[in-house]
Amino acid sequence: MIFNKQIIHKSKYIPAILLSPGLLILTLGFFIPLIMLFVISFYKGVPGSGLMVEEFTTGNYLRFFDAYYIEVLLRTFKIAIYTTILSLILGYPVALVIARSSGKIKSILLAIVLVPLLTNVVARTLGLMIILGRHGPVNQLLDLLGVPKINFIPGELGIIVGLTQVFMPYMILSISSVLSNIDFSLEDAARDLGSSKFGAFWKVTFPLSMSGIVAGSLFVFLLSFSSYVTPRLLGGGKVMVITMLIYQQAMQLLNWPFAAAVAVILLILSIVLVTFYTKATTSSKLIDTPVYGDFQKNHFSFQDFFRKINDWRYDRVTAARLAVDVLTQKSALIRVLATLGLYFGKFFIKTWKIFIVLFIIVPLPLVILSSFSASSMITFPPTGFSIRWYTGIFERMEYVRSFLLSLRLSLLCVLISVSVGTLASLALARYNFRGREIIRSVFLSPLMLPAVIVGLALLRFLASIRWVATFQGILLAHLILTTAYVIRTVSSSLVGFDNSLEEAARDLGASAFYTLRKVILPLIKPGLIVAAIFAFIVSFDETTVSIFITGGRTITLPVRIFSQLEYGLDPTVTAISSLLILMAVIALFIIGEVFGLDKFSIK
Amino acid sequence: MCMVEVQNIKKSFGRVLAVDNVSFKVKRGELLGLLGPSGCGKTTLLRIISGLINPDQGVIFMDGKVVTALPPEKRPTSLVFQNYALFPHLGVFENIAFGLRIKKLPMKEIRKEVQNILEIVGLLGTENRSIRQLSGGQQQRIALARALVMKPSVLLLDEPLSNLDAKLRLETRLYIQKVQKALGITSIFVTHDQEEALSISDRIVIMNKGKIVQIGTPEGIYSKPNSKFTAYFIGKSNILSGIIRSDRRGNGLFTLASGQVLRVKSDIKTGTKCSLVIRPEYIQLLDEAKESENNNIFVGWVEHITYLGEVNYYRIRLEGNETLLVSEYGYGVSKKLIGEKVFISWPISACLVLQDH
Repeated sequence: MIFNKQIIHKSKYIPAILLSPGLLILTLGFFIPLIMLFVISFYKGVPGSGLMVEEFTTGNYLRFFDAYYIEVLLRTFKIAIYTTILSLILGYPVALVIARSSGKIKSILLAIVLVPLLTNVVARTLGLMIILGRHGPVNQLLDLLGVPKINFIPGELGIIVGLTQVFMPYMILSISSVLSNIDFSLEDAARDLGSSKFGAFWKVTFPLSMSGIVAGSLFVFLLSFSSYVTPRLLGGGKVMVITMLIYQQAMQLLNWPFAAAVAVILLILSIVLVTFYTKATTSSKLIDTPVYGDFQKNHFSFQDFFRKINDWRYDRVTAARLAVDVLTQKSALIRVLATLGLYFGKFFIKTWKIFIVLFIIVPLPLVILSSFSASSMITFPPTGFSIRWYTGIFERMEYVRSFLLSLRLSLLCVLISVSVGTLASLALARYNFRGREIIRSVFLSPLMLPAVIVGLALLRFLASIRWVATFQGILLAHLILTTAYVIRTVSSSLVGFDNSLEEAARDLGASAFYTLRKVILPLIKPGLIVAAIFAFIVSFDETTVSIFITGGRTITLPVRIFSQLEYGLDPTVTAISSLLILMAVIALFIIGEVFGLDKFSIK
Repeated sequence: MCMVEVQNIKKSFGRVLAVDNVSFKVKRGELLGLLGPSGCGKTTLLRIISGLINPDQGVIFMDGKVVTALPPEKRPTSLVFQNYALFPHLGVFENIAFGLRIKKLPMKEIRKEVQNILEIVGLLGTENRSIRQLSGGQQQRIALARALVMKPSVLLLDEPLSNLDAKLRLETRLYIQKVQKALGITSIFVTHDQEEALSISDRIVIMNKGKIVQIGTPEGIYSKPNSKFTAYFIGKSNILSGIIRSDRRGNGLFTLASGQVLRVKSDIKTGTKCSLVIRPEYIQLLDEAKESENNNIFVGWVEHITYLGEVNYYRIRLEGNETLLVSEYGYGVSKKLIGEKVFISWPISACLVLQDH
């Protein structure tokens, strides 16, 4: 009898080869810097000098428990919590509308939610600065109504409103993705069994969407807790949050070890939140199809509460109807007033969701409107019409230089990260090997950690190899982010891939490479196109990490306009921001054409 | 002369032994049916033959050469997939031409080959269609065409009819058989449908739990199942347990648990626990008892009648509480009533005694 051993044609090294370029980038741009950051946090700093004494101390961590820094931490918490609650309250109805609409309306709504997400954060914050400013449209409206003006900015209130505006789309997408998986016939069944329309929603749909609420809330909390650009610009540098503390300690006071320690604390908090977030999103499948017993256990405590609310609503409605009946008989005038009141009430009930949708999108058209203003003061409504701020861009060489730098960076990022990321995605999707899930989450981790931490860590690492403010340094930083996006996008388009197609090709005589070229790549082409657009946008728009590592003559465009806005509004910035918004719209249009918007998630 | 020889193939996935020491041969031009319940390892075996899965052990010969170490693209096999695996981004022409392009045939020849094969599968004129524009049956034929155009020495078919509806399945089955015979191509056809296997195969390999249970012609397997499994899996069977004995004259006797005794033909040693297999079509329903030298005769009562058009199935309960399935062809609506007393009779030669293991 002849027994021959394991055959050679499926090598165990293939996944390792496919993964290695990606892992190399990740090691250089992410792991080594993070480890260095951790080590530095235990060094002794010499404030103001940028020097460090390499001896072990826990002093930096102990120092954080000073009343001032605790206050910063608590303030950041407060802002993040308010932002989360506000996003949930405003975002839920929009998510519901998106989940229940279809066709054109759904696409439009999704586009409205997605355009801001693809737009540079500085451009979006600029819109908020215009809206919430002392003489902005909101205060003008209040003035018109005779209500005293509110000082949104600089201040915490402005930051909360601003962060809500910036991060609410994530909340909406989290919730609507869960809501669209809920079988609508469940609500019909509840109606059929005697619940009111609201009761059916409240007892069936709402509890079932809980996983989306939890995931969205954790995500928005994490994002607002660790955001830098929006609080910096809307707080006018006066409201100290934890990310600003890190920036200030590192870049202004040059106390690296303390900045590193604060970053590590922020890192630990983030990891805890991300863990909860991952749990919430992965357990959502269980919640989507509840076992009857579990459902009872989880939601039983709500039942009495719901009943009470329903009774209360019923009483109110009857009382109101009675009152209207009595009043309408009293006089014609009251009848007219009541009708008008009801009309406006109805109008408001029908349209309040539209107001929320407007809130999401309106800063962007506002920026574009302002950019055509003739005046050098940014006012609303804009005075006169001119395109001089657009032509003005070309007279300011620093903007042109930054634009060209950003363009070169983004194109190179697309080229490298799409090839590297696709290889890694193929390894992750096609091969079964030990540690596959860990490697997948490792690749995605740069997206989950606060950009401030990545920026600070990279700064230390790049400084040690003299790459700060160099093209290759910024490229490395952008690559770890864009590769993560590419892997996520390409992986999701490989999920539905029918393995037998690859086998059929092999069976018909195709080599592995030929199969890749003629079967796999053509079939995931839409995924690749979207991945390339993402990579371009992410690199072109990247701000927070770049703030740390650019400088001198190598300043990317978003960092350039960010530093301009730190000193105040500048009409040239509105023109550039308008172009960035246009870029986002074009990108979204292409994605919509290639992929369909509803198949698309950006989390 | 054998075209394919499979020797001692073993394959396990983790702790599951999917294919357990399987050996068989396929003759040149033969259509071999690989039949078994789902999960019996037949598809794994087919993929091992195609080269898509590497066996843990064993050797495969094709045309006298060892191919065990060859990747799928180097083997003289073509596989027709269960879900067809047609490339959705390519049209009909490009799907069929896929393998020919890899062979680097000149365009002229590719066109000719594709035309030829489309004519054989009866789909001339669909070259420019996209795959999505084809019906399920047409897709099936294109999948077959794509495999055949490679002129494989061995054609492998993995449950090729399971995605078609009942009527189309029958048509396509006859048609695959016709094409296979016309081209004289050695084929291995995996199915879980016993009717499909019986009707199409020259020989059948029956598998269960990773092992081969029986190999034989359809007639041989149906009339002489070598195990309770085959008897149960192929066609309808009455399987009774009991003990074999013999009378003074040396004739076989089979004692049921209820104590009733049947006359059988068997060389099995007295006292052995055995199973008795009787096909329903061998049993006759009689109105009155007619003793006969060559028949077993019993009294029973009609318990249930299933009407299937050309055939009636009766479940008859015997005195000893065993039930037997009896089929009656060509009578239209049943003449018997439920609860009616009947006599049943079957020839001694129709009883097959299998030793229990």
